[in-house]
Amino acid sequence: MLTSKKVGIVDLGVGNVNSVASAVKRITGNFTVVSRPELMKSCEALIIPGVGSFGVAEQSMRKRGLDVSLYRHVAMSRPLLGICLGMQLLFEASEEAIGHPGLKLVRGTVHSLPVGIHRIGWDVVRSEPETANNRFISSNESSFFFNHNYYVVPQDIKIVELVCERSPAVPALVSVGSITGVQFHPERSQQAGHKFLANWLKQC
Amino acid sequence: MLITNVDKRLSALVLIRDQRVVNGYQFERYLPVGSIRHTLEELDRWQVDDVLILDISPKRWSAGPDLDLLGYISQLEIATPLTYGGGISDIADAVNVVEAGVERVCLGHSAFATEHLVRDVGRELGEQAVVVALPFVYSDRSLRRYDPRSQHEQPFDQAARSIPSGWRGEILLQDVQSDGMMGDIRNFSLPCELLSGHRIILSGGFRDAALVRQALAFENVSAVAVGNAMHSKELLVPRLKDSLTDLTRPFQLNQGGS
Repeated sequence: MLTSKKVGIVDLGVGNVNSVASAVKRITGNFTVVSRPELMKSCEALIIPGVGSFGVAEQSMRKRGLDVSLYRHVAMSRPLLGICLGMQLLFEASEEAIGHPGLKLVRGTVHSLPVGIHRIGWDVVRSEPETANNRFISSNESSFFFNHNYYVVPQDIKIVELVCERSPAVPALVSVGSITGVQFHPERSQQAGHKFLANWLKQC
Repeated sequence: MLITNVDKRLSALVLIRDQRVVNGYQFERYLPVGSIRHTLEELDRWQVDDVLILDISPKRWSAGPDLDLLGYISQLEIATPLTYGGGISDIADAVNVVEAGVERVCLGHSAFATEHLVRDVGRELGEQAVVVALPFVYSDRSLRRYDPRSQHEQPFDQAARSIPSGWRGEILLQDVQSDGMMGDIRNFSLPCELLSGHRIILSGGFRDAALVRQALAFENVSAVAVGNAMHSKELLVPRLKDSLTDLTRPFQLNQGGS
C-alpha cells in the first residue's frame, strides 16, 4: 500500500471531482470527497481538483468555509496537492478574477497567458534546474495533459521544480513545504499521471 | 498570430445514442457499433490524446445531460481527458457535467440558440473548458452552419459571430457531408479561414494519416477527431500516431492508459 493516510478530495462546488476521485481510487481505497469543513479534519492528505474559473471557485470555497480548514490542514504540515485551478487558488491573486484573493499559501500571483498562446493539449515537462532528478516523475514518462489560459508566477522561483518544455516560463510543478501544485492534470495524463499521483501519495 | 505551445492532438469522437456507441452518417443515419465501456477503455489503452463524447440521443433535448452515464463512465477509471456534449443548455448543466467527471463541455445547438451562453459558461468554467460544436454544409456552394436539432441552416459567418471575440476555447468544426464518408480537406479551407482567430478541432471523414496530416497543417487547427474509422480499422489510433510523431504525442509501448 502506497499510503495508509486518508486522502480527501476537496469539492469546492466546481471542478472535475469525479475525475480525480477515479484516479485516486486506482491507487488507494482510503479516500473520500469532502465538501464541508468538518469532513476535512479527518483527512491526512488533501487534493484540490481543477477545472473552473478562479473567481467562481474562490467564492464557492469561502462560502463553504473550506478555506479555514485548508489553512488548518497546512498549519499541521499535512500534504496538500493543488491541480491546475487548484494550484492557482493557493496563490495570492489572479488576473482572471480581480478582487478575489487566493488562499495566499504560496507567495506569487496568477497571470493570463499572452494572447494567441494555446495550451490545451499535451506537453513534456522537465526538471528545473534541468540536471536535477525530480522525485515525482521519471524522464521517460514526462508528457502530461494541460488545459489552461492562466499560469502561476511564484515570487520565489526556487519553488519551481518542473517547467513546461514548450513554455519554460510556465511552471508545471511548484513545491513549498507540504504543499505541491501542478499545472497539468495528472488524473487525465494516462500512465504518466498515474505514476505522478502514486509518487505524490507515496510521499504523504 | 496563434502559437501552439503543446503537441497537436489526435482526438477521438465517440457518438452515443440511447446509451450505445454509434457510427454516424451525414448526421442522418446511425448504426450501433459497441459498448461505451469497451470503446473508452480501448481508446485509453491506445493513448488517444483526448476523447469527445457527444450524446446525440433526441431525449437529451428535453432531459438535459446524462449525468447517470457520466457517473458510470467515471467508474471506468479512464485516464484520458474527456469532453462531453449533449443536452447542456445552461450554466448549471455545464457545472454538473464537469463535476460528474469530465474536463470540458461541448455546446451545440444551445450555443447558437441561447444568447451569451458560450460567454457565460466560459466565465463559470474558464473558456478553456468549453468547446463549441459547429457542423457545416455547403448548400448551393454557400457555406452554412447546420443545426442537427432543427435541421435548419444559417450563413456560416453569421454563426461564427456568435462566438465571442478573443475567445480562448476551441471549436469543433464538423463536416456534415463527409461524416461517415471519405473526408475532403478542401471542405475545411474556407471555414478554417473564417475562424482564423480561433482554435479548431476538425471532424468528418478522417480515416488515414495523409488526410489527418493535411488537416493538422492548418495553423489554427489544434486537433483532428477520428470517429467511425476507429471502429472499423484495426489499431487505427496507434497507427495514426506512429505516422504523425512529428506533430502529435507519440504512442509509447508498455505505457497502457489504464
